[in-house]
Amino acid sequence: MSRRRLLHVASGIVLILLALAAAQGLDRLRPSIAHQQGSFVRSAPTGVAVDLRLASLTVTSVRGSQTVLTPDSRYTAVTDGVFVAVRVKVVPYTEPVAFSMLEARDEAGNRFLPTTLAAQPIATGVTFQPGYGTEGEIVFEVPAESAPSLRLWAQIPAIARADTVADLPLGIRPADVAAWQASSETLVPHDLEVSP
Amino acid sequence: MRAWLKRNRWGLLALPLLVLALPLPQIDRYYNVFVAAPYRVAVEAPPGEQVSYGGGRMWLVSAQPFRPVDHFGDPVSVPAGFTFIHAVVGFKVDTGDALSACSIFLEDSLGRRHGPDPVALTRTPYRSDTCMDLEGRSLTFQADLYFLLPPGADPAAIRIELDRERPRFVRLLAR
Repeated sequence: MSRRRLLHVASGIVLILLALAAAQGLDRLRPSIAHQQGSFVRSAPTGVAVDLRLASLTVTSVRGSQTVLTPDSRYTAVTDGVFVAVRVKVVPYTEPVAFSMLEARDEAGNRFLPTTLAAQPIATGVTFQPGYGTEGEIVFEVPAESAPSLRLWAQIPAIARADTVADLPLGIRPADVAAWQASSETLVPHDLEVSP
Repeated sequence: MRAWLKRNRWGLLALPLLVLALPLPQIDRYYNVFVAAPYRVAVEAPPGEQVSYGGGRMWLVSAQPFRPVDHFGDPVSVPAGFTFIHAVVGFKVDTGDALSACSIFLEDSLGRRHGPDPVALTRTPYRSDTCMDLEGRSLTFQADLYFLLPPGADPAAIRIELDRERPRFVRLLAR
């Protein structure tokens, strides 16, 4: 093989190796599957609507107590922690929507589903209609130490991948929790209300 | 350079075509997402006329405002400007369950889709019917449907969707 031919083949091999190395480097820069298909987490303080693609969601107020009226309205349930009632307003844009997840999370990563000890008119399963707001309360039973870091998580689609998820801080202060624990008032969840 | 271009001319010409052909292996996916899946072909019927869809015929009997009352006979209160709509749709189906998997909506004058049985009617006797006669006695029947429209919206059409009939859906025009 002539020297020129040898050089030609060698440079070809070097170019292929360089291309493979560059591809390997680019592949490492590629975002992970979890990152590519992760949810778009959106946040907003109490009173400010967050856009969930198909609807807007607003936490309008938060209240609490150690005692809650049970769903049959005949008894009360008492907790060692606190019952937190989160009032939300949902306004779908163009079509009916239902939430596939409504839960509270604390800073330790604990996840709380709506309690079965209280009426839950707005928990998952309710279909919200477009063009107007529907307001109601979601009641969670949480340990007192979890309440100050509590956040409401909500999502509309059944598959959260690559879609919007709301992460709404509830703004509960330790003083609020202390007041709720000291209060003897029974928490009676509000019925659903519609508003323009 | 000129020699290199000449030697590789066919490859260079094919390169842009290959780039354009990259999505082809998933062409069925694009077709399903953008063409086959969305409801985009409306089968419309003016008031008083029927359409044939998914194994049955259907027509709009009426779509009128109404004032619902609760179990105690008291009027259901909603903020000013809201309107309850009572729609009646007639069906003549080939078999009892021909349309059983349908979804029914009220389309308003702004193009929004409203589902039946709004939360304002939760504690009332009003429950909307479906596209099948639940008593299973008749192949010709009428379905009562209850909706709530916000201020500024009027009923435009009753919309009926059947998954297996995509991309076709029915619009029974209210006016």
